[in-house]
Amino acid sequence: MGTHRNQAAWLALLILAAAPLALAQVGKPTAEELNRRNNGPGPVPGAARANQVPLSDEAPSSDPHDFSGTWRAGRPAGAGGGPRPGGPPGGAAAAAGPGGTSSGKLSPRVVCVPPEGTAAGVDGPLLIVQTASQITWAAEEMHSIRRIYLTGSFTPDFKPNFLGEAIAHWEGNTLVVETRGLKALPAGARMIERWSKSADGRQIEMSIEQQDVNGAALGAARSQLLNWAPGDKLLEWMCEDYNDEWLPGGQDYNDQVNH
Amino acid sequence: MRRPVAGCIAWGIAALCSACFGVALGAGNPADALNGVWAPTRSAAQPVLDSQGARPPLLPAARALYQQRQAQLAHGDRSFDLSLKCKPMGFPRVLWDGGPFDIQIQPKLVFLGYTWNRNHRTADIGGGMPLPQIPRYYGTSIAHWDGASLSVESAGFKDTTLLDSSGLPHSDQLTISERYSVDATGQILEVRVRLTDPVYYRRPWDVTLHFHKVPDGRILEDVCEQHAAFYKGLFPGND
Repeated sequence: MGTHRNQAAWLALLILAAAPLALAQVGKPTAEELNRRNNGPGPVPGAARANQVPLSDEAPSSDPHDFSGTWRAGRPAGAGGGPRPGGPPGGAAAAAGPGGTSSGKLSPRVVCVPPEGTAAGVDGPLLIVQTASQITWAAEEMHSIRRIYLTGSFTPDFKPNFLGEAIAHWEGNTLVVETRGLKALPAGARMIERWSKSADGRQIEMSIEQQDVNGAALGAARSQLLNWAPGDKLLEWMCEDYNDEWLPGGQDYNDQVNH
Repeated sequence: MRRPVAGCIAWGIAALCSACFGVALGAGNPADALNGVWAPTRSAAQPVLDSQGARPPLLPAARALYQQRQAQLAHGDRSFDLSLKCKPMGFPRVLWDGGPFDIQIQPKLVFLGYTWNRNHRTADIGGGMPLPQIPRYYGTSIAHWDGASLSVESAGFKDTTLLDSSGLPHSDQLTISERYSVDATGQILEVRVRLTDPVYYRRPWDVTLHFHKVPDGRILEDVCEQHAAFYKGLFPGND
């Protein structure tokens, strides 16, 4: 019982410590909000976007091997929540990482370090640019770029980083993306994604699983849905623009540390 | 009398070299020659010099601002350079200070991804220039093909970025024309950048840069906050 009480106390402490961090993330405005602020009472972001040349034809490519275009993340009907694809096995709590307010330091996310291991940028529009040798996943969120190579092999002694090294191949109409070198995962672990387009081409269905060095599953498999969003142009969302408020000397800094 | 002759020779060499670029490699898609990873053949001059190796034609207001920044630099004060806080370098500085970059071209879109802090920009191919409604670090761009060369026109820049690390300024009236051409070997990319800024510069001026293709190249992930001195010790894992 004592052990359980201790665990409960630690859990409560963790939640209390993590709450300001979560608020910090909620408090950071989106690109649309930034543009609305910058634009004052003038055209709303939707109007600004409508003024752009569409990135793609209204209809997506009918080629099941072509993911090019702009997409918005959604979730398949009936799917639960859970960490983002590629997130650490511990889920959202683990994603907050060590430190935080109790260590007197800021969350890496607050200072614009990208989320580890995620198929980054599912909180805003995504641009997929596909060529014969590469799929480039550019996100509005945190100006992330994920490059998935369709040729070549993994780099020996790759130094783990936030998005790892991703190489893909086709299995029929399914793109199988293998990512190694993710900092968020244990050494030797990998993330396997399977991407396929719906029959009408307007959705990309992704299943994501993580495997340890022996191929055993790390946590439950996840799914992610991308919805076709033609003309939904990426705006500049420069997370660093807000750091003047969130770093030492900024008005929000004291709300983040030493509580 | 020697100078005009030397000038003519230099002009002739330049013209010949220019003719080497933009040569279509066979009858294939010109995008295939441009797609890929490109690394600078050498570091850009600081301060940036124009294509003839001359200092940019600053107007008095810009000269005063630049001299003020030079004085700050002399005292180790680089506070005018917001990229030290990992804010975007902006364009065109990221082209010469941002390390290798990749070009990915689709029929209606050009994607330019820079190493530095994962900054990227796009240009729609075809159509007219949309009215820039919001100044951006990387402006608003459109592109078109000019034979085998790709031209990109941009406007709508924020004036808080620099043209180089020495503090060369620009205004929000800056417009930029870029021309991307690959030589006949397919291994050298020439980028000509024309800057027009009537607020800060007497006349349009050009910068010419060369990049070599990195075979099977991959852009390395760069997270500025991890290495910028400004962030040292501020978050776990950055001690």
